[in-house]
Amino acid sequence: MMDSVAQSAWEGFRLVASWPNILYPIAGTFMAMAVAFLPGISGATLMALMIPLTLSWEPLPVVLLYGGLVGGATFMGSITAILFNVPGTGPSAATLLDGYPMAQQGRARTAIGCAAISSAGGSTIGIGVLIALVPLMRQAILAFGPPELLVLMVWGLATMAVVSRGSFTRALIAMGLGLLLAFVGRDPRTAELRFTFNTMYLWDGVGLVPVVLGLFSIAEVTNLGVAGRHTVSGRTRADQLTGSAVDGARAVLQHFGLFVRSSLIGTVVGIIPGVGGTVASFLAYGHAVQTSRDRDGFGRGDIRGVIAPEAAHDAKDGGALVPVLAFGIPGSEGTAVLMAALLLHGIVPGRALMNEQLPLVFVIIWSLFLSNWLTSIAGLLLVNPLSRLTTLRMDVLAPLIMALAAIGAFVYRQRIEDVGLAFLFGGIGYLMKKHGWPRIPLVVALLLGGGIELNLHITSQLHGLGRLDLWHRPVFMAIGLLTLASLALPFAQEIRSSLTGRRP
Amino acid sequence: MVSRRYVLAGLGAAAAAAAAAGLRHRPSSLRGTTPCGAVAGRSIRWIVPNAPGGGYDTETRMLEPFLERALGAGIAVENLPGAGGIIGARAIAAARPDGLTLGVIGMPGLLLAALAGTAGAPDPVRAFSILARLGRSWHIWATGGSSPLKTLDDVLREGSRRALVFAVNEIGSANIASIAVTAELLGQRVELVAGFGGTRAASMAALRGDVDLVCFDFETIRELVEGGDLRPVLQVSAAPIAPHPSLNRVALLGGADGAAERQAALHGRSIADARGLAEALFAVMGSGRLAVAPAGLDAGLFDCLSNTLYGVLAGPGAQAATTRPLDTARGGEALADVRRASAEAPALLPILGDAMRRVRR
Amino acid sequence: MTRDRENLLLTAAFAVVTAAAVVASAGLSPVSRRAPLAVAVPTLALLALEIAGQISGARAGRRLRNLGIPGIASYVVAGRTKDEAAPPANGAGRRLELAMLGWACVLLASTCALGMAAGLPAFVYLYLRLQSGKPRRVAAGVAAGLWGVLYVVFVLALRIELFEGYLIPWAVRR
Repeated sequence: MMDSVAQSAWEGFRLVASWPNILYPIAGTFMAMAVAFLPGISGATLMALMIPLTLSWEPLPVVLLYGGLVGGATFMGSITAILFNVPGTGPSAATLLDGYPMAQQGRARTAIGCAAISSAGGSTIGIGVLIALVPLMRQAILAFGPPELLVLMVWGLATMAVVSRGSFTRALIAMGLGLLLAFVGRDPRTAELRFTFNTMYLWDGVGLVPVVLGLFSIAEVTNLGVAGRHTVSGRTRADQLTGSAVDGARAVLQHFGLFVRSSLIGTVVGIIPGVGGTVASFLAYGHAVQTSRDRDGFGRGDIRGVIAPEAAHDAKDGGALVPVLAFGIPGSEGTAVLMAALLLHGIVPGRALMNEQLPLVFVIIWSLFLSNWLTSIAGLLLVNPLSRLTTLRMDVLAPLIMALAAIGAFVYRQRIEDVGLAFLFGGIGYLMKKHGWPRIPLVVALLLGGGIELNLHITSQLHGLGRLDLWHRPVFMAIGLLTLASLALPFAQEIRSSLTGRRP
Repeated sequence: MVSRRYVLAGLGAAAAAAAAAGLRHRPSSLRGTTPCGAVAGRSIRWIVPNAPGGGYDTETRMLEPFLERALGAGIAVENLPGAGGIIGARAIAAARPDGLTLGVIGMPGLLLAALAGTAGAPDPVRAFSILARLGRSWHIWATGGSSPLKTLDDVLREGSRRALVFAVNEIGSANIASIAVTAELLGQRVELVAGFGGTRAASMAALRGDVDLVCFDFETIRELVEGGDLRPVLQVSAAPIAPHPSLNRVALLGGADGAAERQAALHGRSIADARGLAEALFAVMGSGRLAVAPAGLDAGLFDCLSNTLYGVLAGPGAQAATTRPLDTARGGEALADVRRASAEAPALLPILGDAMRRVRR
Repeated sequence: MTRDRENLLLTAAFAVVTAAAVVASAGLSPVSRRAPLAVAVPTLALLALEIAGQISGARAGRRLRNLGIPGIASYVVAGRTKDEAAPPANGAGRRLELAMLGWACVLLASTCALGMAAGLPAFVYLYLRLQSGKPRRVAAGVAAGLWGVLYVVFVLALRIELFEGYLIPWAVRR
């Protein structure tokens, strides 16, 4: 089996690297980069729009192009998160937590360089795991059911509560508010409408993207305006900026263990259908904080807060291909569209594809790999002009950032109400920042709350029906123990330090 | 002499007006006949009640080039997901009936929303001008590939001992009606485990053996069936759903020798009752996904759009372009189906109400 | 309004929202109300503690927020952390806050009225002229640039319809 995998991998690589095939992923990458700097424009949107234009193409160029579109869009969302605190996509929201403070400190070049290398490297690890899993794809996916999803999400939530800076009580309150927001909308278990105030707008719940845009982007623009800060970085000339892309790349090597662990987190989350890149990014971020001895820098421009989410975010793309290729089940929104495009061209994802067209599988994989590296290289080449944007005057940038945020909020679901929601949370976010309330637990709770409730319900219902034996589900037990350990670790450290009289 | 300031102001005002108008999509130059005068050369807003990449969205984008050519107009696809398709349907119903706003709706979902009295759901019969039917979604009951339940008889035998466990996405969706009514006809108790994140996630639960069965549109899970990951045990229809090898010898719910009538006597129901209930279910589920415009379309424009759309859908190009088979029909035939379904749907209400009460306990 | 009073008002607003969730949950079925109540009730209790702490003063507040649980002290800090620095509490700061609130309203109003295509460039133009004091040429240039980006990306490249506003369609209909 491994011989045929290796052979197919080489055949796929040859197909991608040959002329003129190589042009397609390159074109896809740059097309995605050109438009994806606008918030809300994701790889999935671009791919959906390309469907009618590629109807008459042969399958191979379609697959090559789509790999490029996915890779190109991802990185651009991180650029706007770092430079302007405006996440281009949901997963980029975790990058802004430390990326933007780095830009504020004049270290945008380091942040972008770090993001570029982390994302390319993370994608490499994700694809490496994907290739290694080719013989085991089906078992890998079947290992993750509702109980496993439940403990994974609880781990993410609990981690955020414990590692939030500031008051623990306020972190819990923020988390509670985020969970209540997550419960808004139609309950899929009973079809009842919860907290919708008879409006159809809230049927599908409170959108994550408008809330993040409000709590971070709009709140930050307001804060900068009120504080009278002249530029994002506090510098007015490019030669006053510090750091470099090389510093950013070096940081990834310095924190290599964190980088690898974050990539693996992203890959694993990507494998689980329907969980998404945003969860991967925040889980990795929480893991980074929790496993660090010196946590005070997080949220204030700690480069580890860029390495972790970026590595996880791009590693997820490799993982998200696993359910598509093994079962024809989309692992993410982007892979859902990819699947539709494959079906359209007569390529049926699933067992048939894995058994009969393995080289084509590797064409997809290599195309994605190439695209991720292309975007990172382009990002590195553009790091100087991009970082110069942080020396632009805020009195010019502020209205543009507000306009960008409004566009991003609207494009998310094509609802003008989301723009209003974003600005409402902009006001709330500003006040929360002003008075020392943490915002991250609220966002993470909003992200994970719905999934936790549903998976808890499914798990308890199936267990009650005698369909689940939780003690014989190794992945569930492993993640559950990890959750307990990560919850106990900070307290254990604190108790140890009080006993020995030393600070951790 | 006119001051420079006023010239610039005038230009600016003109530019602003052009800006607002200019950001609507304009079609590129189009060849071919342009039979529907009111829309020729214009931009048609085509509303899809899914996010990009969702089922109706992909199908629409595949058909887009054919529609543009036939209508002589540009198609601007607008995704309006939410509220189970009701947001998109409302937007179509509320638009001006000038032929410049069209869209696709899933009629079974709307019929059931109307039946449930869902606030804000448009009237499925009166709110739209039905131009054509794109296709119909027929459901199957399927077990996991490694499940010991391989046929309907196995399922019924197991069901006589305990409740059958189904994985479903969302209570209130059309496949809940399919499960509840079918189970009633077969005299089976069911437990609905809801909250799975999509058709595929629910199918995985069956694969894993966490649940007994899933009930979904055959075309949506075709790949899993072909791969042997899911095994069809029942076709929720009166006739074979598709000429597909995996459906050979799979029991039918309806029809003269269907499971509904065979089970009727066993569970104290008359054959006429069983037949009536089954036909009500098939009428609702078979009302299909429809291309529609707002109600009140001018008669001439309606005829033109309806004939043009049907011509595209029934043509070989569209059939080859889409991944789902197009089970097309003209607007008039589709409207007759919808009216029949709307008249028969109330027969399902007691069963659906009972199912909802049980899940909310 | 003093900063402390503003913080208290914010906390009270959170408490009102949480209490409303408790009340609204009462009308739901047992399955649907379980999770909201399980979250809202403890959150309300924590909010009560927080409010009590704010009212009774900083030192008492620290003790309450510490919850008296050993080992948790390092995660509990009273008030803001160092870099969550607040803007100046003087009149100038308050005026700027109200100005930013006003501009947010202008953005929303212009978008709703004129749509995104015209409303956002109009907002940018007005902000640059009135708030930032930029010359007309600069303001118009930046606004035109934004319009250009919207046109190229959304109309030409993506063919995504932006929100068209309420005023222009109404005027066209008439």
